Amino acid sequence: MKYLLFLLLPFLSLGQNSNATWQRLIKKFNQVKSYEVKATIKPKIASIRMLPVKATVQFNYPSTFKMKSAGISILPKNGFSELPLLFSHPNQFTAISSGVDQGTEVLTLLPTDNEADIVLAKIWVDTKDYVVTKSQITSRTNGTVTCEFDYAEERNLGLPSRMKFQIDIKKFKIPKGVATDINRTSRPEETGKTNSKGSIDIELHDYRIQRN
Amino acid sequence: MIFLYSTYNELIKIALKPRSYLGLAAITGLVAIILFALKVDGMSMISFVTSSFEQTLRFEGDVLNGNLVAFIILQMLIVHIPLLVALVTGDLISGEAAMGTLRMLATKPISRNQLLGSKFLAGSLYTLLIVVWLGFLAVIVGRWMFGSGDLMVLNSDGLVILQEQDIVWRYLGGFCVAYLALLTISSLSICLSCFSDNSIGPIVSTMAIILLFTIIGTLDVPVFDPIRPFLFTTHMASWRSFFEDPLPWEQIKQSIYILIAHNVVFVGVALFSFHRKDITV
Amino acid sequence: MPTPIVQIRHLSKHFGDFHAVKDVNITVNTGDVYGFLGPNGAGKSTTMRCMLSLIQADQGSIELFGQSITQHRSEILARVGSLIEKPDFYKYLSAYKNLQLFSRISGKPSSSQEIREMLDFVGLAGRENDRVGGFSHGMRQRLGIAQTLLHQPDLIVLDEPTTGLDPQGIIDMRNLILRLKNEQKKTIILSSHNLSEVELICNRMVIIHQGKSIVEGNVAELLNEDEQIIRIQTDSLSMPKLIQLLQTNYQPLQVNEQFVEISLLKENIPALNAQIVAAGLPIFAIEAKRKLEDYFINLLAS
Repeated sequence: MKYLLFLLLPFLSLGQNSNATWQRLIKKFNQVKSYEVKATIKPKIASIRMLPVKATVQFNYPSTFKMKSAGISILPKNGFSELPLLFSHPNQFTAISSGVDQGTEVLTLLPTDNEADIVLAKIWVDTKDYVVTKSQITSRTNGTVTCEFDYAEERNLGLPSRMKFQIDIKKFKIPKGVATDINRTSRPEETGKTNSKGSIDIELHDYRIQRN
Repeated sequence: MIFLYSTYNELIKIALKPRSYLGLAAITGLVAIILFALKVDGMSMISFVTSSFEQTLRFEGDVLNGNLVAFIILQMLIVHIPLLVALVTGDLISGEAAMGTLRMLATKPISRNQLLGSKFLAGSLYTLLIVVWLGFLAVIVGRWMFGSGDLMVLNSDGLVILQEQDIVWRYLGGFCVAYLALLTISSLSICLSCFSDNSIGPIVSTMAIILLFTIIGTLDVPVFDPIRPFLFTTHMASWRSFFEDPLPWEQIKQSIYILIAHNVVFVGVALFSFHRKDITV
Repeated sequence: MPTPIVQIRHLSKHFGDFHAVKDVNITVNTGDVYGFLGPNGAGKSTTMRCMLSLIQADQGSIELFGQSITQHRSEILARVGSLIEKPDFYKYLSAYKNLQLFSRISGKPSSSQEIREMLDFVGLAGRENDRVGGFSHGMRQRLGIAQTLLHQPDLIVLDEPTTGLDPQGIIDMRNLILRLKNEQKKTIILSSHNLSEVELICNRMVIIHQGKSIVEGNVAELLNEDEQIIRIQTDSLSMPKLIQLLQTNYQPLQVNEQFVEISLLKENIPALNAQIVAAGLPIFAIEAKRKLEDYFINLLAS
């Protein structure tokens, strides 16, 4: 029995740590009631060409995001709202530590409800300031969305200065009749791949924050 | 001076001929139908197009705006405009021959080259009118009905999203190249018109040539690869190169050169044959 | 010495294998009303079209006003008014607009008043704003004459101007040509099937047959108009007496139950008339027969 306790001790202590980390993150998240931030969105997707777009993002506690941009911008589907969704419903997830990765603690969040949209979430937490540096959220509706976070002035509130979403794009196909380049002389190169990787960089600056 | 008088005459003839308004009316009707359809059900068309992305991406902003509507209209109609242009320009010589008025004109002290030149100029101005009218309906009316915004261009290999402030010059450039392409149709039909004494022949011949070249251009058969880049129909849609990013200048320049070369050839052949044409009807 | 205004020498033109004009030679002098005669397909229209550079000649020279038509086309055509075949106009335009349109490229654009005066001159006053599509053939012909004359040409070329006209229209056209000749001293080239018309109007003529000009000259000289063929009509009872009377001085050319034809000098007609009256014969008509018809038929037959 002593031996068994000895063997489980590291895991029990990890379980306590992961829960503490999770609670610290939630606490930090709850500090902010709303904010408005200017964003520059830079998609890097093989099948989409566009210049960086400027936009304003508005957040209202707990997980409402609104984006205003002068033109068309591209975002990962629910990319902004999925992490706040985790934080705003802490009881719906169980945090389990998945070890340490390059100096960050990795938490795996499992939904308590088997029918929940989010199936699995992994977050990388910098335990020095308790900010999320990377997230990987798999949902039924959106597939897997991976996002990396950088922080600057608002690090203490857990508000990032840059988000970089990694996305999988299905091979783009448009019916000939709808596509505009019917008479194109050079054919687009066939890659043979069915999917391609892409990323969307969002730089965030000039936060206007209202605290809870 | 007599050249300008003759051009003025040709413009009056075009302006007072009911057939000239057929093209304008057809464009107006077609644009009205497209605008109505897009107003009623435009979003479903957009989501049909962007469905490949929708599992992972979300488009923010007004995708279905006047600029996209204008682009869709141009894309749909530019294929049909040649017929409307040829309907008038293909008739400029042969129609007069059929009516007998060519005989009357040719006995006047205007040289054959000047007479044909004035017809080319009038045909060019009519083509310009068609393009401007199409542009007005597509861009101005489209923006009025749908508002302005960034333009999402749908290609077979992806999307290009162009910012609003970056669009006007692209439309201007696109319309210039589209005009050059239609001018080639005008020149071809006037050229064919010099060889015919009936009104319908050059119009049908022009359309037959366009059809033939388009089929050769779209057939994925390697034997046609060497000639494909030199067919004017290959460059009919070059206007849309202005909506690519980065701008394929080399491709645009090549299209412009080839279209100009076709115009020069058609005008040259027309001048040569009309100068020697025996007016027997 | 008359000044030649048109000189055509050894004109030749092929249409494929068909040799339409083989060797036509023409000289038209200033002030002439010059008749083009010939059966259908003889080459009249082709010659006229070559003259106006509608058709390019294969061989030969064409000079108008002393200049070659191939080298000075525009200067020459500015001085020529022509109506070749039927008058064709833009049917969707009014008579006024049509004239205005042709006038602009005639080298001497006419004013609005000049156009209206010309329409008045050809009898189309009041119809100037009507679409030509609704005009009768006669009205179009008059409009055709109007566009021919509008820029005050020195030479007028009319290709069968009376074709399709009603009798009154033919008379009007004939009078118009005579007015142009007498009042405006215009040089007129006229082709026609109507031989009596040519005989009445033209002072010079050419006969073209199978692409060649076979006879050219002064109408009076060619037809020897001093000597006339006179047709005398009487009843059948008096016919023997009439023949007997005529045989003493003349040689009857043709005799039948209704008339006798004789040839005599124009100056002797009054004496013949007096002689018949003195004999108490019932005469229904004494008429001079047109000679061009016979001349033309005999010429072609030979």
